[in-house]
Amino acid sequence: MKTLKTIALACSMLAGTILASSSDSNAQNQKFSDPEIASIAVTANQIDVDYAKIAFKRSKDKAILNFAKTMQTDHEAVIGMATKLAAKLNVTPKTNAMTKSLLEGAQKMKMELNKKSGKAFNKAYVDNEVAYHEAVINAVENVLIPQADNKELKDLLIKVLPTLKVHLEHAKMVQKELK
Amino acid sequence: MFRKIVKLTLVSLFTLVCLNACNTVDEPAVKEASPASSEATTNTEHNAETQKDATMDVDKTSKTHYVTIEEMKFNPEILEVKKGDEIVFTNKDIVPHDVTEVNKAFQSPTLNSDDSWKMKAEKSVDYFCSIHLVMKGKIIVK
Repeated sequence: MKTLKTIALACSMLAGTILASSSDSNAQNQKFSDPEIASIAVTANQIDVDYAKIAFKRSKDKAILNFAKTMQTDHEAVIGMATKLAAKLNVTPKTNAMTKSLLEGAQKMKMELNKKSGKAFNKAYVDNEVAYHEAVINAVENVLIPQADNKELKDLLIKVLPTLKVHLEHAKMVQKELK
Repeated sequence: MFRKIVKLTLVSLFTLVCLNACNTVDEPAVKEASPASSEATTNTEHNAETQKDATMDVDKTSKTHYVTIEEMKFNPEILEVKKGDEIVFTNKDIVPHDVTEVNKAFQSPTLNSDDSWKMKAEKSVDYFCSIHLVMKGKIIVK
């Protein structure tokens, strides 16, 4: 019970990190530069790849492993596109407050996930995937896309959005099957 | 009289050359619309513009239909074809997809961005992407 509370807290902290940046009116007024947006995009994708790698070690559930494989493949593809675009535009991704918050939240979540196994892990992993994708979609829609100056960067974020929404739908489906 | 005949001949020749030139310009567009020749292949040169018609004649009895995978959807999601028609799936997304029949009667290879795969429609089937389970489509053989 205690661990469930810890996971829930960690989930809400992580989601809160992004939501605070995307929903709060002050944060929405906070302007991110294109190099900062590139850094947020790459970091957010890398975090989900890292969660998937933990799933490969901690789970034997077919649906979880299939979902984790998709997360790894898709988010690595997005990182590849973002990195390629950054190089083309001669933009160096710049670490910023949101990147740091994302990494701090992910560090705590990874520690929690690594302590679990079996059904407890499966539930914690998929619950986090639902919360994480909801938060990232919100940030991409309400902060990153509106603030991106470069058209190609904005177009890439717009192109990634349906992928994130399908991931969320997929995560919710797995979550429902686990219950 | 002789001059008039020569003049008429020259005008006719000029008209013929012009008409021939026009035909030559039209030819590549038809070639670009030609379907891929192998059963399962990748095709990075598939012209998206030519897919707007979605259907084209291959011979008198069968047609080729195009399904574009874009924005995490099969487009069109429901496709009506005749038995023996060919269907070409092209992935225009940045992430990989595949085309898997619900009972695994067939499965395409993984289609990376800009890859194409074609199949022959034998019967009505429901299919999905085994990488993104919520992506679904239907082929109705009339």
